[in-house]
Amino acid sequence: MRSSASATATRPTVVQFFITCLLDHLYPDIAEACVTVLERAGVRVEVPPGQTCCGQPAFNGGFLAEARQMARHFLAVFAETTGPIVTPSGSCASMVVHHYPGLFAGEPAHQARAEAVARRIREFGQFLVEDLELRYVGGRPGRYTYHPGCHLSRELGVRGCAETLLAGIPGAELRPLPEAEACCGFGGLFAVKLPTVSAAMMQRKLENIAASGAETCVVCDASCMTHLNGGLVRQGRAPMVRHLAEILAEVGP
Amino acid sequence: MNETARAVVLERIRQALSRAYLPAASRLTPPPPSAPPFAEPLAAVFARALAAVYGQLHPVPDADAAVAFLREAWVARGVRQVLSWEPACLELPGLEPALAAAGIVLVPARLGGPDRRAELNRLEPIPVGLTAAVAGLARTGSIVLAADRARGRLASLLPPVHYAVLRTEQLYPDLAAWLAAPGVRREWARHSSTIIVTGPSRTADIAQTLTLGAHGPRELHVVLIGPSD
Amino acid sequence: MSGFEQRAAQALHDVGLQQALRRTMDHFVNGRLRAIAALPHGEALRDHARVIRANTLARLDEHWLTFERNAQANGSRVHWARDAAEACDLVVAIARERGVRRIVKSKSMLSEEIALNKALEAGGLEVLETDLGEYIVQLSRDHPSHIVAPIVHKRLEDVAALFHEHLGTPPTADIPTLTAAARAALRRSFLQADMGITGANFAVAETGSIVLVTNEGNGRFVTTTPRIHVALVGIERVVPTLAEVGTLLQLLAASATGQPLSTYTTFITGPRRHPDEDGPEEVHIILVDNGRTQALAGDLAEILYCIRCGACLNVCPVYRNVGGHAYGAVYPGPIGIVVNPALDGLGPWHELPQASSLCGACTEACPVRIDIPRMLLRLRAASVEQGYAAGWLRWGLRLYAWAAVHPRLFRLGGWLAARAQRLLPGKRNGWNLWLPGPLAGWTATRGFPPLAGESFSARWQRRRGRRP
Repeated sequence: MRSSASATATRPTVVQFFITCLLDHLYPDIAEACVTVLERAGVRVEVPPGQTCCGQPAFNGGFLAEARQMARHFLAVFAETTGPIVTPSGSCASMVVHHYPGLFAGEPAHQARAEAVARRIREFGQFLVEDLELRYVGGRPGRYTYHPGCHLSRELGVRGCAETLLAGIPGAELRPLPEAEACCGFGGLFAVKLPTVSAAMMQRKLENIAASGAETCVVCDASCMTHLNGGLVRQGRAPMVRHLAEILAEVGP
Repeated sequence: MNETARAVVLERIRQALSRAYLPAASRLTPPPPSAPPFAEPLAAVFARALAAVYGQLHPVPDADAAVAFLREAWVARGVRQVLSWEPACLELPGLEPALAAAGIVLVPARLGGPDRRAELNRLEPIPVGLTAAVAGLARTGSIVLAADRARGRLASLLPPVHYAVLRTEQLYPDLAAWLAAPGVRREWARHSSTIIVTGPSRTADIAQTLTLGAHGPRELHVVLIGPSD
Repeated sequence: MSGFEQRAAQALHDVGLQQALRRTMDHFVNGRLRAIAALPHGEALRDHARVIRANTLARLDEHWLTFERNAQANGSRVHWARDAAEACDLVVAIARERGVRRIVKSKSMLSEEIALNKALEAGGLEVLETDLGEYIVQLSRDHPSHIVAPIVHKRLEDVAALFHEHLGTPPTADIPTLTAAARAALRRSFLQADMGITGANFAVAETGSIVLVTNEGNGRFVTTTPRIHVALVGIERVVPTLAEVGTLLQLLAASATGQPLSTYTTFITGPRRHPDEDGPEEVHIILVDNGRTQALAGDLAEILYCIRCGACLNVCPVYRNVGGHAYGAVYPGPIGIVVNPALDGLGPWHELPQASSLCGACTEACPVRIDIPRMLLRLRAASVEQGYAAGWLRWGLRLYAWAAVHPRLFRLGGWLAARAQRLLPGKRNGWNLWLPGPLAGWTATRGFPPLAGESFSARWQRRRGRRP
């Protein structure tokens, strides 16, 4: 269930950056880090203006009218651009790739646009490893562990890219995470509608992260990061969950 | 009354199908992936698989050896009665006299009389059951029992110990192979019950801990008649 | 706080339940992974099984007519029930007409669904569950919490205490002793019962047989010793041929209990043929709709592919944390949060589709790859359409969506929210440890990070000329 290969057969030199609302408003430095890494990799980054939200929170809650509204806006922002659309979020990527075409089932023009845009979506780590065929783009040595987000690994079928980039850092140690593919418990509105179950899932994940012996837990989804760091801070502990882009950007190769 | 329910349900199904979204539906169902053939003789595969499900295998070269084995095994257990299929169905010539000589009687597994309960109570204390098998499935270590007149189900169900006689020619690689074998589907409706038995009865309901012999037999012995390789 | 959330919170504080879940869930998952890996072409077999289920449902009426014809030719009586009440009435009527007093039952989730035991007892009939787990459920006046392993939620100590009370076993009896006690108690009932009731894992159209998959042997007793056998079969259970049921049986055993095949796979093809054979004199097969045609009529039809193996329960992070009772429904876990509303409508069940983080582990584990998240999204959309969404959420998302199509307003909103957030009390290192209203659920166990003073897009716009 991967998004199809990027629009150009040869190595891409320009990409459109799909910021995601979470990074735009909560973690602009991580978005900055993505751009840094992509530029380091020899790619020019364009950021189409007017981006807000892909509509996933509304869609997951069953609010289709609102989801369509936001999706139409997203398509308007990106439709006139060309080339790969790179985003540092597995869940947002999956939203566009898997759910946008279905949202416009009764609207052929929008559906065609949605399908065209969906074909161009690439998740950040996936783009670096599969499209640019890189193994090392930067990062400090350290003891890392990786938590794969559910949308990225199961819905998009992207596995191994972040691990490749982390393992590629000289002097870095990638520790296995027990029950790695277990959901962190965020699930969007789930975290607020069923907070005790969500917190129990989070607690299990935090225990596993501690058991891995890593100093830093790396993720490709800021939603997982917000959830897990939220738990750590509440417990008076350091927020040691960080986004892949931040890690890779820290130090150049 | 039930005619109405039947008509209504069938009509509901038809109506529903006009709106059903059935992903993966296709014009034709393709054949299943076929399993590669075993490198070893089926008897060896069967032996291993049977042991894995806690069944016990007793290979013997021929029918006479099978009779001798059964008599010795049952004498050692102090058995006097065996709940059994009709001897003719077992294809073990000389079984009844050999057992009689050791003071062991074959009791037919059937419920023919008017007082079902009384018959069941009479059969219940018999400590050992004997049947033949219709087939053996090597990959899973299973035997197949088909009920029929003179081949009562109770023989493999009521006693705590069950002996089943199987011939190596009756071994198939697996369930799919046996179901596809000539005559199997044709003969199916003759039998009110066809049971694939894979090891002795078991349960793990209490604390997910395996215990043998929940309601069915706690011991399954397969006497496998055929040349050893 | 929703009903589910309340029951879930209770479950999370139940130390015994938590211990039981920790012990059992991984045991089941590892068993399934080993068994599927041991199947030749296991993944291709799963794809094949999915096609079998889809194609069977696509011609469901034809296959049932074939089944009915063949079953009747074998001497079985075939009855049809539109709903739970009709199914229960049929069973009671059969029992009455034939002077039945004592009934033994083998495990059947469908019988739970139609609340059969209650109807039988109301009809003055004595019913005994014989599946060891269900027997324990019945003795303790409890409900099953898992569709394959009904007492996953009970510890050994709980069962020992129960048997001490009802069967007189020593209070610290071990498992073999408890099992032997149950065996003895139930055997008396098997031999004295007038009627046996079972479900059916599958119904094979080409032979008119029903298939029962069990390990204990109680299913065999229930269908052999009493003179009447009644089988309840959901109308999604038909399989066209023996060959196809062979495929499904392998996957069922592997996915449910990690076995190559369960101990007893019993094909029942009518009553006994000869008066001196053993086995029942009469076999009644009751085909039950009870909402299945409703599920079939749209986007949720795929839930009928389910072969009731329970694999989805064992991997679901929600189920693994709260167990089956928290769902408050006959079917728990991922299958349950789709099938309960699919059969009955959202009315009684609108909370259930929310009880998921959409992680997709269920689909990965399902032997026939049912896309549960897809159907949850459909149910959530239907939920909103039917007015079950909370007011604050509806208005909040409407506002959010409106702002999202006006980028400058969206940016302004973000800026305002960042300012407002700083004013809230209860902070640590800039993180909010308290958020108002419905968001308090988040901050009960999590902090919330500070929104950025300047968004990335504002920063980018400002610096746009800096980079080529």
